[in-house]
Amino acid sequence: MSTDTVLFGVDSWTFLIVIATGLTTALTRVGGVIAMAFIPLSSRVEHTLRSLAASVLIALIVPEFIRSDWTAQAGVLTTVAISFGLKKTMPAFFAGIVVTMLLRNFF
Amino acid sequence: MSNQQTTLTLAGALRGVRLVLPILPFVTIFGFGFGAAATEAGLSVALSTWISTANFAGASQFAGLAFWIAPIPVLALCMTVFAVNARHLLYGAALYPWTKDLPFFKRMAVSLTVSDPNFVVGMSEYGKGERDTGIIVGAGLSMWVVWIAGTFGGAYAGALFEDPDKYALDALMVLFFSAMMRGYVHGRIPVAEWAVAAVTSVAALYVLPENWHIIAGGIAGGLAGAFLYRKPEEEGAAE
Repeated sequence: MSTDTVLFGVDSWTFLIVIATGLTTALTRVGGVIAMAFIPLSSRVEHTLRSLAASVLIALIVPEFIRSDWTAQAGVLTTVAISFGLKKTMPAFFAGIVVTMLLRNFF
Repeated sequence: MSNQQTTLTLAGALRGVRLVLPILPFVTIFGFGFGAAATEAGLSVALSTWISTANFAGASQFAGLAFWIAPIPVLALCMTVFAVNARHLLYGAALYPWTKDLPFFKRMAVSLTVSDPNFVVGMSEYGKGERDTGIIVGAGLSMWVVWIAGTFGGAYAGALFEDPDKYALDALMVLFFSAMMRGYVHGRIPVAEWAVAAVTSVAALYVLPENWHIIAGGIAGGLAGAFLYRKPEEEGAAE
C-alpha cells in the first residue's frame, strides 16, 4: 500500500496516527475507572483525587496565563472574578471572551 | 433518592442533553476555534475534523496542533495527548463510586463519553442524588456531535477570518478552564495545594519538554493534597 492512499480524506498513515491519538485519549478515559477497581476508596484517596483534578486545572491555567498577552490576561481575570463573585460559570466564560475581543479590537 | 440503584437509561440521557443545552453553543464555538486554529496551522479540513471525532478532547487537540506536520513525531504526539488528557484518569476515578455498580461494558461506555463539562455537571447532579449515569452519556454525546460540527465549520470557514486572534479564539481554552475553576472548590479554597500546583507547573515550563508542565503541576498539587490531608475529626485536634 503506498503512503499516498487516501482514507476518509486523509492519507492512510496520518489517519492511523489520528486513531492512535484517539486510543490514547480513550485510555485516559477508562484508565482511572479500571485502576479504581484495585484501589480502596478511602476519604484520603478521595481527597487526593480532588486535589489532583484541581491541580491539573491550575497547571492548565497559570502557565498559559503567564504566556498570554495582556488582553487575554484581562479576560481571564474577568472570568475568574465573575465566576467566583456572581457564581455563574458560562456567563463568566462569555464575559472573558468579550473583554479579550473588545480590548484586541480597540487597542 | 440516593438509595436508588445506579442505572443507564435513555430518559437519563435526554436529561443529560437538557442539562448541557445552555453550553452547547460554547462547545460549538470552541470547536470552531479549534478548526480555525488547525487550518491556520496547516492541517486539512478532513484531518481537523477527524482529530475532533477521534479525540473529543479540546485541550489536548490544541496542544497537539504543532505536531501534525509531516513527518509526524508519533510518540511525542501521543505522550502529549496523554499528559494533557491525564485529568480524565482522575475524572474516571472520581466517578467510580457512582459507576462501580454498572456492568463492566456499560461502565466503560459511560467513561468514554466523559469530558470536562459533563464531568462537572455529572458530579454536581450525583451530589443532588442523581443515580442515572445516562446524564453523563447524553451530555457527552450531544457535546461530541456539536464539537465535530463546530470543528468542521471552523476548519472550513475559519480561513475567511482575516485575523482569528481578534475573536479571542486563541484564548478560548484558558478562559474556559478559568470559568471551570469554581466547580473544583469544595468549601475553602485549598491555597497551599493550588500554590504548589501553580509554582511546579510554571517551573516545569522551563525545565521539562513542552506540555509536561500540566501533568507535573497536577501530580505535585495532588501529592500536596495527600500530604496535607487531615481526617475531619482530627481537624480540631491539630495544633
